[in-house]
Amino acid sequence: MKKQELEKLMQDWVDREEKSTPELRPTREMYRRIQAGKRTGPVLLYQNYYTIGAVAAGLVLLVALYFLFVQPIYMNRLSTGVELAFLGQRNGFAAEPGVVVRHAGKTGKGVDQKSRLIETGPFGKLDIQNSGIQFQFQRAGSRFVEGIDLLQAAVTPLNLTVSDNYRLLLELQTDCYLYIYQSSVTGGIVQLFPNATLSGCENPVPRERQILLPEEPDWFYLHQEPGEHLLYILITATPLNEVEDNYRLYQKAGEASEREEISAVILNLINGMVKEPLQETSGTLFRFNHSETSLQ
Amino acid sequence: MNKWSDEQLLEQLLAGKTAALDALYQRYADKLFVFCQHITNYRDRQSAEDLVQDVFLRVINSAKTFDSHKAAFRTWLFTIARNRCFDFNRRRARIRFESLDPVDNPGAANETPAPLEQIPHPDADVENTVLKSNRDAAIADCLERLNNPDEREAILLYYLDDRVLREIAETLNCSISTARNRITAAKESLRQCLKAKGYESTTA
Repeated sequence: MKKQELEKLMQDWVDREEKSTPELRPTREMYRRIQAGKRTGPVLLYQNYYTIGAVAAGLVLLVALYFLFVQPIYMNRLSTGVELAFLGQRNGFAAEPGVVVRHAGKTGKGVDQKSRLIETGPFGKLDIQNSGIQFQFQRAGSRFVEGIDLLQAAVTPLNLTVSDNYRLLLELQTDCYLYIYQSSVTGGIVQLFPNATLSGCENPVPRERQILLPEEPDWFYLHQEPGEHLLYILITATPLNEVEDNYRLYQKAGEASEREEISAVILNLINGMVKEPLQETSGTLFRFNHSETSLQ
Repeated sequence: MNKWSDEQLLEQLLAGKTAALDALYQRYADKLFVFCQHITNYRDRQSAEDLVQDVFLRVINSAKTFDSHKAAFRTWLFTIARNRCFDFNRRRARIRFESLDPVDNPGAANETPAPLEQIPHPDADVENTVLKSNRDAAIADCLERLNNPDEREAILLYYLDDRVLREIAETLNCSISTARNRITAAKESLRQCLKAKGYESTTA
């Protein structure tokens, strides 16, 4: 008898033996003992795959809710940085990496002048062709950082609330002096660059140096008077000594009237550079609206 | 509950779910019945049925002590079955010695196993069985005529328990190589026995 024959013979025999057994069923005594010995305390839920799935889904939902609602609200109330007149610094919200540039596009003919956000000068002889100046913002509760390329005109008005954050990202392809000012509807003005509290970089700025204002992980936010805000970005081959001197006077001025007077001088100077650029000095003006004054 | 593992069913059983016992019964009762029927030497169906119930009662009572990290459930189950069968054999043997009527104790031969050629089976008429071409009876007879009871256990577990040598070795409390040797020896004895009974090359 060959091995295979024996194997088949035995397997058939076992199968028939199993089939020929009487009907075997648990007794009532067995059921009673199971019920009597029922384990007290929590049932081991991990044995149930449906329970595992439900618990995992619940955890994922909780984490998602936290990042969507709880964390942004909590982060909104954190004012970790310094107060800069009408704007302050705080940590950014958790967001997906990268920036979604939503507002890029050149202004065409017939576009309502009021809705223009950016007035871009020719930048004189300065080569800024491949430079990047981006206004980035993140809405409270959004998972994305959005960006506006300020070297292109955009037509969509931008409204920011006190719950939103914003910052500037610059990378210039030329050695230059950089000045960034922001003015509010109240007439207040803040020099965002150069500003030792916001960036470790100073003038002159070397080419290809990436500047983030304010530096990570902070963002700007607006917390005072609602209304239009103007952001001036000036790029020049030589220092703007007159503007800098006036800004120093502005900072030292005690009375409101004196501050208003000096800020008007500064704004007049930089407006002139934006609208009528010199050969070595030019700039960009970016307008955006602030529509809320306090956290809800 | 058919898709659940043995260990999961045992957890459910501990949680008081009787359906888990039904599932375990459906999965193992027949195998245990065959195992007990042929281990106890008596070919007594009622005794085998009682032993199966006894095994499951032990499972219910000892379920809390089962550790799935130490052994698979079915290894544990067949170990319990093996021990219950041994107890049964011992009890029956004791009764035989206390009885004055040897006819009532057909399993007496089990006490002093002899070479298979010398042992006439107490119950079955082997010649008639062969003549009737009752192959199943012949196999059962050959199993009972195995010299070494350990070999019978090993070969039964081998065919009933999906041929997992490691689990067979754990059930028999021996090494894997010992289990393998017992199975090999049992197969050889069976082959010779069946050959002697005229099943030389029968496949039908």
